[in-house]
Amino acid sequence: MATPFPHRKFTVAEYYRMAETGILLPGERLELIEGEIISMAPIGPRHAMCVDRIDELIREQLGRTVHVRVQNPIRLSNNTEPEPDITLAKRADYSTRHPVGEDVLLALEVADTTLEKDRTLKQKAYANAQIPEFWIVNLSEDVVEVYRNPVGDTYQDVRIVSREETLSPQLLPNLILSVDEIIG
Amino acid sequence: MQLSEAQFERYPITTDIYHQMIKQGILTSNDKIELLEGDLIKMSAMGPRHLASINRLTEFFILQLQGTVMVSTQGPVELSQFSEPEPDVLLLKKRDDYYRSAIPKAEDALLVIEVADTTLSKDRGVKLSAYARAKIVEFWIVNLQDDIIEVYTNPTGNSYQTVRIVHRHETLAPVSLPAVILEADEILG
Repeated sequence: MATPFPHRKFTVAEYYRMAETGILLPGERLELIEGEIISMAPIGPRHAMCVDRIDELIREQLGRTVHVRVQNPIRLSNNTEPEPDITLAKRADYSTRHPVGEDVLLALEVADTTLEKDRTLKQKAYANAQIPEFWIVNLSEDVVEVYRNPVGDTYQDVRIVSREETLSPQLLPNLILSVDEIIG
Repeated sequence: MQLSEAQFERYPITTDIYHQMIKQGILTSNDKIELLEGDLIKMSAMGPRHLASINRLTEFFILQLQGTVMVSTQGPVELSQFSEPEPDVLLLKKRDDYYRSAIPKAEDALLVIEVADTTLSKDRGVKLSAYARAKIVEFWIVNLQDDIIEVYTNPTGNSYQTVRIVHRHETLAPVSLPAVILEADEILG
């Protein structure tokens, strides 16, 4: 439905006010990216299981040494507050604020139907916020896309990791995940 | 990186959400926007020729119609759950309460006019199809780029079946108000 014309964008403060005043309803799955209120795709069983499996693998290996956040908000700017499938953040008290860009060690999105959105809109938002590393678990092609070295609104280094290979986040070398385990 | 629009789904704004945003002060009079197809579109800044054309049309219709039809300038008209544009000039069926109880709807409109200098592709595209879908009986584009008036009637689906181009030195009248005859020169200035 979206039109190609310049349109009004929203700040995080306006977005929260819309939620508080009931303009946006609690059941609606939305995230705010660069001022755009974006509808999130429904989560299918393969996507859901993949997120839960990765969550489990990370907690098994890292225990409580990092903050593992599943489908919860991170505050990247005054107009961007996405909800990555998994965020690994530095341990801190996030009860009064969401993690910001510099808290985040890795953002991960599981993509089945959302691949283009994750490669464009999300990559841009995460790179802009200087999130050091971004993974897309690409369920259509059974690979993990690893984006590193954010410069401006894009990542300079892109690596495709296939089945039978393993990978680790740059900032968490002790965490070793195999693509087979991730993709299932 | 340029994002194309098809790659993600922007949350569609309904007229209900739009009005709640105004009521809650999230949108204010500083927001020069109109709701079109679920998007809050920014309105282009208006140049003097555009403004003069609106003022000329408004004056003409008010003097000619003598209060039998309501002349609304840049006021809203509700077309659907997702569109509430603010056309440059809107002729509405007369109502004793001046539409105090509810924003005018498509069936209240006798004629919608957009003046286009820089906005021609928007007016011929998304606006025209929104007006046609809402069955707005007649839509004029005062095309200042080409110095013509485009008259669209017989809405069917996303477009109008009949298009007439009115040039300088010609005259035109709204279908629903055949006695109200305007000269193209007067409108184009």
